[in-house]
Amino acid sequence: MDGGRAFFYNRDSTGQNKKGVVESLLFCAEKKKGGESVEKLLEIQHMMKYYGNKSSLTKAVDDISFSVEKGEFTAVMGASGSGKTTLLNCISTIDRVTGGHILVEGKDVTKLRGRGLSRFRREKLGFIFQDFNLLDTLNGFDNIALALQIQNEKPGRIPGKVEEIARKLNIQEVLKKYPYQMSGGQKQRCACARAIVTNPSLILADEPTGALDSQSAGMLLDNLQFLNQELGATILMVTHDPLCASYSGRVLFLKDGKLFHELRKGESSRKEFFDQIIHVIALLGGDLSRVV
Amino acid sequence: MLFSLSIKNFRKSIRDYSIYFFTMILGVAVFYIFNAIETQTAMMEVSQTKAAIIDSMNGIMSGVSIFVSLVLGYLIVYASRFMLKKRKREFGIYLTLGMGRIRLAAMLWLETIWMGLISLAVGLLAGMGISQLMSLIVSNLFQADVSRYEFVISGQAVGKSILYFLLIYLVVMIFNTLSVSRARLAEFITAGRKKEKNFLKKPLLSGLVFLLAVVMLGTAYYNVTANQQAMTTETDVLTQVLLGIFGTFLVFWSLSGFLMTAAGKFRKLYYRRLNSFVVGELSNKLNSTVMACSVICLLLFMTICLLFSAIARKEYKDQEAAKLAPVSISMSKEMTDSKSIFDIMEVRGISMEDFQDLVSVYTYHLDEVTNYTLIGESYGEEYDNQKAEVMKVGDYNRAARVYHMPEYELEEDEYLIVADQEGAVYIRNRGLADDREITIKGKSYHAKENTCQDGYLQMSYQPQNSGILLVPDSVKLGEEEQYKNYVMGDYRDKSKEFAQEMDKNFAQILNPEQSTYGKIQVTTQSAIYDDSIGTSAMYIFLGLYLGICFLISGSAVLALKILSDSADSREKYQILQQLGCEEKEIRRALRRQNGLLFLLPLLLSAVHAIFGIQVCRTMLSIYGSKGSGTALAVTMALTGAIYGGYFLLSHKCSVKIVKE
Repeated sequence: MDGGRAFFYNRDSTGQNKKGVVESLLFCAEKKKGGESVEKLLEIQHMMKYYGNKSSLTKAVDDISFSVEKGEFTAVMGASGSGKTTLLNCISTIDRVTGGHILVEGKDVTKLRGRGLSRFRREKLGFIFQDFNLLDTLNGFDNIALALQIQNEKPGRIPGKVEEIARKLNIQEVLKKYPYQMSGGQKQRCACARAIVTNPSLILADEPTGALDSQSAGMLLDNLQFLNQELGATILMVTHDPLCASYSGRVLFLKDGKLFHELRKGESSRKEFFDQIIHVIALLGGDLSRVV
Repeated sequence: MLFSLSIKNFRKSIRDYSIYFFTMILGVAVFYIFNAIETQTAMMEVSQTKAAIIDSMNGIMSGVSIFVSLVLGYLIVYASRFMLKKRKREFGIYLTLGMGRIRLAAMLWLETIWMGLISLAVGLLAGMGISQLMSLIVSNLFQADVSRYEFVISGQAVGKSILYFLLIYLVVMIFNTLSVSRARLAEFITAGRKKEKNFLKKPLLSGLVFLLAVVMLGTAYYNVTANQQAMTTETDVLTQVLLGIFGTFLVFWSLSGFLMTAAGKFRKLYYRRLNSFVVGELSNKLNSTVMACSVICLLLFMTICLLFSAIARKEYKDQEAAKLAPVSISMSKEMTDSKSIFDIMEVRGISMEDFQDLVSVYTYHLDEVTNYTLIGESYGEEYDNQKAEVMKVGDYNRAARVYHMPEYELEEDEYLIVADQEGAVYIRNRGLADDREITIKGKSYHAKENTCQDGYLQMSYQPQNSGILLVPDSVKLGEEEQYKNYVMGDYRDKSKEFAQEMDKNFAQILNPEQSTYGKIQVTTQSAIYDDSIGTSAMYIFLGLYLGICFLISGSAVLALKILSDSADSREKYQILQQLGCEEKEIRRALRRQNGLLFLLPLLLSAVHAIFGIQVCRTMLSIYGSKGSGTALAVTMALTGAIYGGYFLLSHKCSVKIVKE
């Protein structure tokens, strides 16, 4: 149960759980002992997102704080309605927070407006979605190139970059195909290439395997792992699939808009990590267990 | 329940398909306005000649109205079916909730009725308002005196509009019922999920088809203009029309493939900003609207030709009327009974006091001068043996002086031919080109000029002088050889009323029914002017009526296409936003693709029109380029206003849809 230490951030009515505080302090100390100075890429500070009005208020995300370091592959798990997609939408600036701050590379993105938002998205973020979101009127190559075009990349340098990333993700054969000619897995890997080709600071993935069969899902997750381990990409992935989450290095569990648990893979194998995730889910019971 | 649901749906339709609704209102209004012209013209005080033309115009207008109602009917049926397709999922929900097909159809009926009633009411009201403006144009074009202004509502036009549009809505209801009762529930439910496939075409095939289309159009262009003389039979002409239609279709069929191929050649441009996205979207749109684009292109082409030639014709005819009818009156009479026009006028008791400076001249028929003698080429026995009209150059010059036409001088051995009728000039020039010698009364003469010279003896609606041989005054021409007597001059009383009075009665007084004398042909300046004004107005109204309807129909189809595409591709713009694309860029991409979709059919139709207009000019015998400027300006303004207006409206709506 080493990597599977449970941190409870349960701040129901009484406030912070003492054990949680102690343990997280311990954890930080541990990290520091390792001697690595870690750069915080993403920092969420007391983020809140409420929907509705005074009479019926929905706290989709209720005071969450955590941070993601550079080069981390983090999964956010939770049942539907737990607020994980809202969290992702707020980080990606598609949605606006009700309160709190989101810092990306030390810059508060909740303060961004208009053109600043667009610039932030195109320079810092890469997106991977459940339904691929490829443009059906463009072929694979042009879809990947589009991300570069939006960055105002010099047209002459685009083909080289696209081909390079396609080679790395092993999707050269689909570059000439249009989305309707591709399989689900091919589409998602194409979307993956589009997300990474601009060299973003942070890749956001929303249920990337949601619409894939298990084999394609496996290939995609291998790709994501490759991006993370070989290219050093920082990935934040939202999923409700334990298998999917087991590819990551760290899993955050959300429930009812609150962060209540965290798992780190540490030195354990993917199989062991998967078992830990399942274990936590089973242990916690509640809504999450129904998902599995 | 059905009632309130239908009202709710109707409200929603107005919001979502405001362009459709707007088009229906516009259609009703235009229909009313042009049908109300009849009532407006009935109120005008115009001359006999104009009244006759107005009568025939109104006859033609009501015929054209049937055609227009078919066009508008087709547009409305097309648009409503298009909307029905968009609503399939909604219908699927009704059906799964247990609503019967009959009730669903009934709901659609009610919706159509609301739509119909409101668009008819609003359209008629708008029509009545604009129609008052139209009456100004009507009286202006017919140059009628507007002594009093009256607010006219044409009951007949109201009735006609209601009847025609009710029929159209009835057809819409039948079509809706059919499509609802035929479709399967599964089809309804999955309707939204079906993604539009990108109908890819092989680049090589596209290129070849595009080339073929260009060749077809080029052939048609060449044949109708440079090679016009060779087009003699109806089949020839029809072939060119078919070549044009198929060529247009093939251009749009291959255009997207061609675009994509071209994009591959200009990679630097293609990969700049959102260009690749725009090209992709545009080629997808073009692929799914090949038929619509072709029809729209042809409609635009016809509109441009119609409007341009109607207006250019007016300018030309106004000009020509001044040249063809420079004095108040001209008369001619064959001398079969040896009575001159002056003789008859005396017999009929017409006072010479009414006229001033009347000139009388004679032409002659000589046995030795026939058409064949002059041309030296056979054009059928009857024509060859016809004697040519001969006159002394001095006599001709007296007449020409009255008409302010050029006078001619001949040496003792010269002859000259004056003619202005196009076909005759062509034939006679062939003879003159040979530099033929002719013999009159034993003396030979040669042509002074090797082409026909401009001139005529009798005023007419259009150039009609098929050739008069002018010979030196020394030629002895006997009284027994006289062929025709011509008289021309001005009225002493220059008032409009007098001219109208003359138009009404003078010819009858000269040629009473029981007359034993030869008939005197009378042509007056006022009748020629009125005819020119009247026919010009008629052509312009027909051009406007058809042109506006064509423009509305074509633009509405494109606008609907753009709106539904925007609704379908909202997701795409979301993706662009997520990729960090700025709103300004997105709007620009949207503007480019919408603009190009509107522009491409217009461009091709403009190319068509360059050649089509020349054909129209030949058909309507419009020569010279004077008046082209006005015609071009009016045509461009009207096309720009309607087509451009629809573009702006649909683009605005599409930006709104995408922004949501």
